[in-house]
Amino acid sequence: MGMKKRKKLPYGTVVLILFILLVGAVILSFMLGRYPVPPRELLGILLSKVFTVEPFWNDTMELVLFNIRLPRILLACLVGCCLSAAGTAYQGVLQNPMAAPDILGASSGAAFGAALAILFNRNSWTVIISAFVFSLMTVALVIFIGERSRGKKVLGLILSGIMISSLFSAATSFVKLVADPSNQLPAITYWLMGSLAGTKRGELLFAVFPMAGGLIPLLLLRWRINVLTLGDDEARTMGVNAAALRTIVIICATLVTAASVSVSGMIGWVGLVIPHFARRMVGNNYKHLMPASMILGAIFLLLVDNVSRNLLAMEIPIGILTAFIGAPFFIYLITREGERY
Amino acid sequence: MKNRILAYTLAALMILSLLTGCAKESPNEDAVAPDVSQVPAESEAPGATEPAREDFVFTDDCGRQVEVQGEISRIVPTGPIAQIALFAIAPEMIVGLASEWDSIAKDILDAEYYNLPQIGHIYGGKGEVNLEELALLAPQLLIDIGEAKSSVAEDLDTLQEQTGITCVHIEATLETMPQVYRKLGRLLGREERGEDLAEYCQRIYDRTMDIINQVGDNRADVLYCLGPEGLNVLAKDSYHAELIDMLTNNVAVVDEPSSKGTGNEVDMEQLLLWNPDYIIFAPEVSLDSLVKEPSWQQMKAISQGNYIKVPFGPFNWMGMPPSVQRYLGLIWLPAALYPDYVDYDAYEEIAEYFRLFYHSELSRELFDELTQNSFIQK
Amino acid sequence: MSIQVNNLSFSYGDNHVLKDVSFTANDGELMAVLGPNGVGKSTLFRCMLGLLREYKGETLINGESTRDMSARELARRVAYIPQSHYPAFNYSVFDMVLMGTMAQVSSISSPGKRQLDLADKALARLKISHLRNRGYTQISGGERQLTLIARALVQEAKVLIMDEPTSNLDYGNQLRVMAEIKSLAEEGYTIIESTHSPDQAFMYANRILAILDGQVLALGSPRETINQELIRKLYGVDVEIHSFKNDSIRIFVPDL
Repeated sequence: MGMKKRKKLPYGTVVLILFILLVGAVILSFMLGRYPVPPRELLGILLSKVFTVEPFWNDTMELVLFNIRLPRILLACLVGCCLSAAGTAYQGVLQNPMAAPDILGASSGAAFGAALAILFNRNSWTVIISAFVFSLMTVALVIFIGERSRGKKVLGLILSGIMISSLFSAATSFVKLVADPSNQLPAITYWLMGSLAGTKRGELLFAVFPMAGGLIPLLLLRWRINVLTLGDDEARTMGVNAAALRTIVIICATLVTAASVSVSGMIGWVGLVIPHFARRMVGNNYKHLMPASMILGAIFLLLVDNVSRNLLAMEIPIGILTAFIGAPFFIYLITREGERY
Repeated sequence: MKNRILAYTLAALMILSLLTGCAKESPNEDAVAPDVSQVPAESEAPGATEPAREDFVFTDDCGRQVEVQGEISRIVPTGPIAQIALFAIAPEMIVGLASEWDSIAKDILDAEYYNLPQIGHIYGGKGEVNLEELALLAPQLLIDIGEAKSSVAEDLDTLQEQTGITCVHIEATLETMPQVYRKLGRLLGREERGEDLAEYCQRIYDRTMDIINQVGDNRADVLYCLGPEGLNVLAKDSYHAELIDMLTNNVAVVDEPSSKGTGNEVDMEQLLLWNPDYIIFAPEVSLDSLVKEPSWQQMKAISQGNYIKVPFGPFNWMGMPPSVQRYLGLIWLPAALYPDYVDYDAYEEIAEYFRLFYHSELSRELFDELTQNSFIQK
Repeated sequence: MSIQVNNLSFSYGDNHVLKDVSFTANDGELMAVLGPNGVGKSTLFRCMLGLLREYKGETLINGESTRDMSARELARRVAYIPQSHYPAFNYSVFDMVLMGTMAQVSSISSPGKRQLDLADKALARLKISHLRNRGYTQISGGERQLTLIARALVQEAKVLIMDEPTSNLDYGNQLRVMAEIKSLAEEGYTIIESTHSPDQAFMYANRILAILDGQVLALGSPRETINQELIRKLYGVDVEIHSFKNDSIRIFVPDL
């Protein structure tokens, strides 16, 4: 083993850099769009919110910035942040580096809820709420079954997660089968691919509360999650009620996943790839890992969404893009040699 | 150490690639930007045949009151039904398409219209529409036409608030097309043109009803078969079977008529049980190979040659999408099934429709090509 | 700090794993628990650590029953040192040791300066400060065991329960780890360790608890308890005992 001197950036510096990158990415995203808003006008519009500036831009520019671009940028950041926070959290509580936000069925439950709502009623609010509720119910069911499993609870959770997920996937397939192929089926398919297109302020407001409700406890409890990765018994002898802590963390992670998936559809890979990327940067200690992972997730999804909304005149579903970026990265992760994480 | 460097490099690369992407985009932006500002100026000059109108309040068919500009010159349909209907009354106002024209339309439509930018279905589902792209087209109106979904008013309100573009829903069925065109005439400042189209629709509709009344009990027993194998039927009383039910005796009676455009799936035995006098095949059925199959040969309609295929161009004449082009079906189907009761020349009539609705001259050759298998060959 | 186990019994259904086990370990005592595999040593530890709760009898720490203590309260009194293991994620040695301060820090906060100092002190105490920033999974088994002991020290509990601390270690590491354990006992920690090695128990421990079939077979000082008879009963083998250095070392030679 080559003992090269490891000179790693201190955690504080890493987070500062990431934060600056995030701010930069947000500013950049504000400037990017199919509708051209020159920097001078952009600055003018932004300043006009604080000072009185004589408008020298057209109304559409302002509308595009605040009604179309801003909600979408914010949602991309939030969803990216939530998905990678949830992935990071699930990986810890399930002691499994390959865990992703959908491991306990949050996504497949949401997909079924959304498909069902599309089948019965095309109102977009119904779809969001149904996806959210089904997502939470699915994970509740998984926890219920997992807690009743004999032997190692974590394994029971993962197994029942896989089982219930595939059950709901089958149910979603059935809904797709009976859906009207001329309008419902494309809507379901599109939802399953995940997209932030047409983000409305209302959706943002709907999602932000459960997201905050999950993210804040995850941030506060982040150092404790470390001890869960050692197993229940060891955690308990160190004074941590592992079962209770795990349940709280799972609830929080599920809440943010459900909120994200219900407004954005299925966006895969973020919650698996970004935590590993963050582990590489700041190590496995959740005290550092969780914030780094959150910021990195926000940056990542924001940048990918920029591609999704700028590359072509038609939207490219972001779920497809994240898969295209995520899969090669994942292959790199599992084939690379070296230290285990 | 290596891994860490790699990670940082990757992150930096992501940012960099976007920056360059932005840089590349900028000349493009410059080219587009002035175009937008020119829009209002350009719109007032040509084609303003009607006297200038004041802005007004329009009440759409879901009861929403919206402010509409007096001079309308840029509109966008929200979906294919609206696209077809609007193309008839104001093709030059359409600045973006909900769905691409079928390639066959290349021979029918003006290149200017055929090559319009496609933005996708705006209304229905979360959709693939890039709202900024829509804003870039700067339409004054988004027009939704068809049968309303329960949430249409709320959805259009949201869309209008989000994009700042006035959204209007107009309720339309086959029978109400005359009213639809009068309404569109008022909305777009094209009253005269709207009235012409309304009268045309009324005339065709009334004449078709007359023919059917004369046919009376002699209506043909018919099945409408679709799907690649021809094993789906549009069942009686289903939404998409409206035209079939109106003009024929649809023998496909099932317990639960499907509301889907793909109809009800059945098997050969069921088809043989129905064994109608005539079979109408959807455009996608490959007729040549299908009618040679022994199983289909057992069908009376096939062995006797009593089968026809729905013409397609630029859309299915019997529906899909169920828009105004179904009037082509109202002209063609009676001519195909009840030639003894029909006193018009199908080509002349169809050509008139093409002139009015597609603004194009339909040549005899193209007509023959489109209707190749669409009349019973004796 | 003393730990006292009174009439502790435990059964999985009809399988009586522990029957009326009683003993006391006092300040500064290093108690070695001997017994073949499956006699209930682990179960005994799990009961004492509050990981199993449905036992009869009681465990007292300085006279207080552990039954009603929360995990946090118990962790401040008793620390557990598992066999060295591979966790799912690779933590730095320092982060691993710092986790021992969980019970001192409120649920929603992170360790403060006091905890960081404690961790550094513990590393220094076990002479592994140089490993501070190494990955826990990349160091040797003996170093991992010392890391886990350091983690128990920052927990600030005075009773340490160790599960076969020297199994899977090479000879040198066994001696190093045992020397550290012995010096901790001399500092006043109460240490209860399970072991498979009677000669090691004799050499380091000052009390022996021998368990067979869930019952206490022998309890007392090494010299009183560790003899041919005990080895035969515990492990079913006959050995000769040779004594060295004024009977401070006993070596067991199997009958060949």
